[in-house]
Amino acid sequence: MKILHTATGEYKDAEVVPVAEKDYDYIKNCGRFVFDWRTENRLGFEVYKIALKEYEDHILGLLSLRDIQQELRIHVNLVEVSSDNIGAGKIYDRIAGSLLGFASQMAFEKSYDGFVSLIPKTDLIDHYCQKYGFSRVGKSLAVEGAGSLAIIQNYL
Amino acid sequence: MSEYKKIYEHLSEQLAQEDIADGYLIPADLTEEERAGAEQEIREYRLKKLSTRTESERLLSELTRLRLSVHRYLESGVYSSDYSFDEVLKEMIAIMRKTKKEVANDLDVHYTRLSRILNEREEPNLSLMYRLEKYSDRIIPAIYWWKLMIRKQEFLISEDQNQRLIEGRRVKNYLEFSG
Repeated sequence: MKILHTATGEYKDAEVVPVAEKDYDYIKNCGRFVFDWRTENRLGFEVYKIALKEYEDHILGLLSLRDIQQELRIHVNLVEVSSDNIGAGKIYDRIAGSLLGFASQMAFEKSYDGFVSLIPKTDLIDHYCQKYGFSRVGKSLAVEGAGSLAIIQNYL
Repeated sequence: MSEYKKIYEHLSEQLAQEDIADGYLIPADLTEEERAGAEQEIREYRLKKLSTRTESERLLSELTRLRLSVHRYLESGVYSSDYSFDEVLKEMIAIMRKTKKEVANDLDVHYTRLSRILNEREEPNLSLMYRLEKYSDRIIPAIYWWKLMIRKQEFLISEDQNQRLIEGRRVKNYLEFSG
């Protein structure tokens, strides 16, 4: 997947991989993340990080998800982009989209028809519908099929 | 108040709503009962979707899975005969549940030529790759087909000493700097 270096307009190769045990201390102490990602892991979510291929120790964003096999869907619980990549002064762009693209990819690779669900805070719902093509399903949002493929085509 | 909500309120004091939306997906603060209800709603929706899945949805899903596996292969940098052009095309035809004759007709390619490509007796050209891109509604883009062919040719060039010798014997007046 490609993320955008905002200053140069250059696309850089990035990779999403599982968070290793040693990463949790870095995440907690680096001052660039505010959520407790070790707790996400303890709650039973799979936790993934995104980093540049050329600089893999420098985590740019995190994602927690659950593989709900009985319903053939991936449920994304939490996404966080590092604080230096949020707002007008961000160094890299497309990080959150790339993490969602990873979830869509997983949902196709597991033969779940690309089905990804979320239950975001009310204030964030419109953003996820407009930017990534999610639709409302009761209190949840979901994307699947062509919508999920579009996320992959845009971000991976 | 949940930790998610506490952090969200803290972020709201520091960042514009647009920046929070751009940088975070934060789960809704639901009661146990609300969460169970939300889970029930999405479960029912998902199971209904599965029971009414159309042929078009199956095709999109399986072709996308093929695209992703080809993408991973191309990223890996190694050559595998499982991912040669002809093998991926065979897989695509199987997913589409069409005969070779139907595919040849759909692509406006002579049946014999398609068979030769599928049997590795003829190399595909760029025209065919553009047609395959269109055929899959761009799910498998022409550039993927091109890279599959090139990956195999790179492998052959690095490994095929026999053909190198045979072709070398046919060359006259060749340059010879290395002695």
